[in-house]
Amino acid sequence: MHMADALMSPAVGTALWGSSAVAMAYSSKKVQSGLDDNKIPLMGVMGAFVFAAQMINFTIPMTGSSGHIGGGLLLSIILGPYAAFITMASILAIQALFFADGGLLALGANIINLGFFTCFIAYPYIFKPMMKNKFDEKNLFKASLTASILGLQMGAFAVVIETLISGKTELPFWNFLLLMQPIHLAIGVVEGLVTAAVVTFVWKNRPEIISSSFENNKLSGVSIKSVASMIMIMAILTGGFVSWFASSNPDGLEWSMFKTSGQEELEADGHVYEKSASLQEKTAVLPDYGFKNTEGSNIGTSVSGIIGGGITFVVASALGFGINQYKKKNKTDNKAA
Amino acid sequence: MSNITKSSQNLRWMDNQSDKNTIIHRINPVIKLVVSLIYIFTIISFDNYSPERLIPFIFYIFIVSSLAEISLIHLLKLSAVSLPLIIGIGIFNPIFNREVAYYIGSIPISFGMLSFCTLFIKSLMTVISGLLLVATTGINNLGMALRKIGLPKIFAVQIMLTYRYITVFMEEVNTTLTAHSLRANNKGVSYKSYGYLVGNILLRTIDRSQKIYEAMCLRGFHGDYVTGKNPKINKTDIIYLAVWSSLFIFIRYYNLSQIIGNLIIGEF
Amino acid sequence: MSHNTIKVVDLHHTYPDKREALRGISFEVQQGESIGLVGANGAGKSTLLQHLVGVLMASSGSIEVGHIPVNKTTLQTIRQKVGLVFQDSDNQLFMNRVYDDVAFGPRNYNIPEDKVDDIVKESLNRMGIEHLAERAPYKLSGGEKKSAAIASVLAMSPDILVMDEPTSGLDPKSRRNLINILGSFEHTKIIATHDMDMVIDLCDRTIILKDGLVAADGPTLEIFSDAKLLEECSLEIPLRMASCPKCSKQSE
Repeated sequence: MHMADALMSPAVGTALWGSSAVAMAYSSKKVQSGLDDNKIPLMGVMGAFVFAAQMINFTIPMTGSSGHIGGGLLLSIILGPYAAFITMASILAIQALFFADGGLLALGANIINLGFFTCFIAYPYIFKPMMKNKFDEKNLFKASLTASILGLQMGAFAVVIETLISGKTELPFWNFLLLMQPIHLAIGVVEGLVTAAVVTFVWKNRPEIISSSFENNKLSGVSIKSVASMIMIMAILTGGFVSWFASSNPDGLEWSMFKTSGQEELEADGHVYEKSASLQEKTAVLPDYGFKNTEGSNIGTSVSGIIGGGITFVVASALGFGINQYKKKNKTDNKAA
Repeated sequence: MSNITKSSQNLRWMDNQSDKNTIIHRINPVIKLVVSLIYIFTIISFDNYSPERLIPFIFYIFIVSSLAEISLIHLLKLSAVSLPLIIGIGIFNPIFNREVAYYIGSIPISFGMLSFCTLFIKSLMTVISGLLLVATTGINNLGMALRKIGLPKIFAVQIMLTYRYITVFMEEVNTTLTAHSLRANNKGVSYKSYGYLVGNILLRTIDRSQKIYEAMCLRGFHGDYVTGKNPKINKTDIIYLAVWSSLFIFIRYYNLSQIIGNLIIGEF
Repeated sequence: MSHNTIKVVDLHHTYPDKREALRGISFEVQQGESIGLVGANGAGKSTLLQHLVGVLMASSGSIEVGHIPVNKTTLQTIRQKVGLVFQDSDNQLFMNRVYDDVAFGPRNYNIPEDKVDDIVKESLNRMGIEHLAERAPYKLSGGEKKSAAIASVLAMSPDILVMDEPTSGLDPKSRRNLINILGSFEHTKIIATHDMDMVIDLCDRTIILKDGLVAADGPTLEIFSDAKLLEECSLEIPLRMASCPKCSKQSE
């Protein structure tokens, strides 16, 4: 599932962009140093392929619903994890930019959720080991299914954590989790089946495509050291950002560069303690964790705020409308001239 | 099938919009990208319970879309994609947080309702501003802008290449699916056929990439994707950046809606 | 002058799957010649074209372009002399703007941007598509794409143009337009095609390939009026010559 901007807080968004950038920089270096130039157009068309293939829904028997391919695992099998990661990132970027599927600030999060876990964890540490013994149809099926399901579960879990830390939903942790994980289990099953079907076909007809990237450890090998160091850097960045925002900020995790007006200032001191306490609460996973940030926020809402908001809206749309009319008039004047 | 046609139409529409030549289109793409990011960043920095504080941010959308001659209605239609997720998650807010914040007359407004409202407005604004950016910039300039703010070159190259071939592949998938449906007797794509259909397209994809690679080599490609010169930043760009960012920060700091509302109420 | 001749000597090519595509091709091309390369599908036309630009390497035999042998070390020079136009223009136009596709070649040789601009404008001009410079390739018609692809090759300033089925998929008007433009080029041309009528218009000399060998090599009209030969090579007399009284008499 693609994260939206509105579901993230600046802290989480920035931290994940930072993590994304780290992973992308590392992958770029790997791709450019180890590989043939012909990878470049291959990555591009594979990206377009995954994009188009996502439009093919197939019917899941007995459920009447349909599913489609996600792509991370398939790309890793064909391209190797580093190239696959960059390709996934570019697909997600185009989805965010041109199709409003996922936000711009949330792009970093999406690249991690949908790219990192599949390419750097599911593929090298679940799929490959499962295929080590024998590369045949049955193994392919099992490995593909397992890797897809686990990869997507990790991604879904990340979404839950990110949204919760961002604090934009009132859903308690367990409720959210119970909402997300089963859905992504189903999606993972579909992805696994689909990846298996396609890879089996390719392997039967043109095995050299699979084996060349699979056996080439320079391409497909992801050392534990590199993944661990990537995760460590990301964790430091994330932790750093989140705690910096939390501690230096009387409004808690929300970013606020300035003190807000009047009434909120009075509560500022009490705030810091409230906020740190609730930060503890938020990050602790309690069964009945609930998020009721009633005192911390700037509730300047009152009737006047709403009236003011309404007027602002009217003024803004009038302005926009006015510009429109002015432009149209200019055009017809020019045409008549 | 209809998914594909819709997506192709979307891309085509976006492309046509970015071909226009308005003052907004002429602004340096990096500046536009930065302004959009500041916009989004500022909006999501708001808390959950003050939806009316977000309203002034609509100025940016109304003004830029009319100056750029981009249809806001169409942008709204495109942004519908993002709504199911927001509504799906946001709808739980009024359910889980029923504590009353205040009353409008005799109608209770709960915190949950406020946070849902805020979420919805934030979502609409951030999504539309993103689409506005793309509609006024176009893929080539976007690729360049992404490079300029520090993303790896190979990432920008991949975005360009992927974008270039999306339409080609959507065509191919369309043709394949049509051929399938003509013989499928109204049934959808079965799991078994899926492997063949998609697998075949995949193989053709890989072959095509080899030909593209040859085409690149025949024109001197040796690993470094060279692009042309970049547009400079001029006075208008600086003004654009300065005006919008200060406005955003101002609105973030001052509750404009409240101020105006107080004025009006004070009048009566 | 001899620096633009092509000399193919006993060229063999066997694909990895053991298929022998070329089994000993030999011919010579002089500067400025226009040669039609015809033959049934699978005769080896595309394979031969790919050898001329060094995309494929010979299993045995040799190719020389302007006295420079085609091998791994000379590829850069060869590709500046010989330009190949693909059958599928979508594979040749991989940028998001016609201008960038045409500029791709010159930019790779570190030519300064203002000179690149001149080259691009000239190439677009040559093909009559200056108005398409800012267009995205997916918005072009088949004929426009073909012209853009050719322009992108022209930007490399090759002396020799090699084309793979240039008129395939074009509507009659685009086709005629293309034939006229190609007719105005002074480049040495080798055109692989099924479009026999175009060969009559553009090429004084024709080579027929059959099963990886040269079945005929001579003046176009002479070869095209030999019905028996054409039939043996799985070809037919071009429509235009079919009811020609002189030629029909000859084939009786």
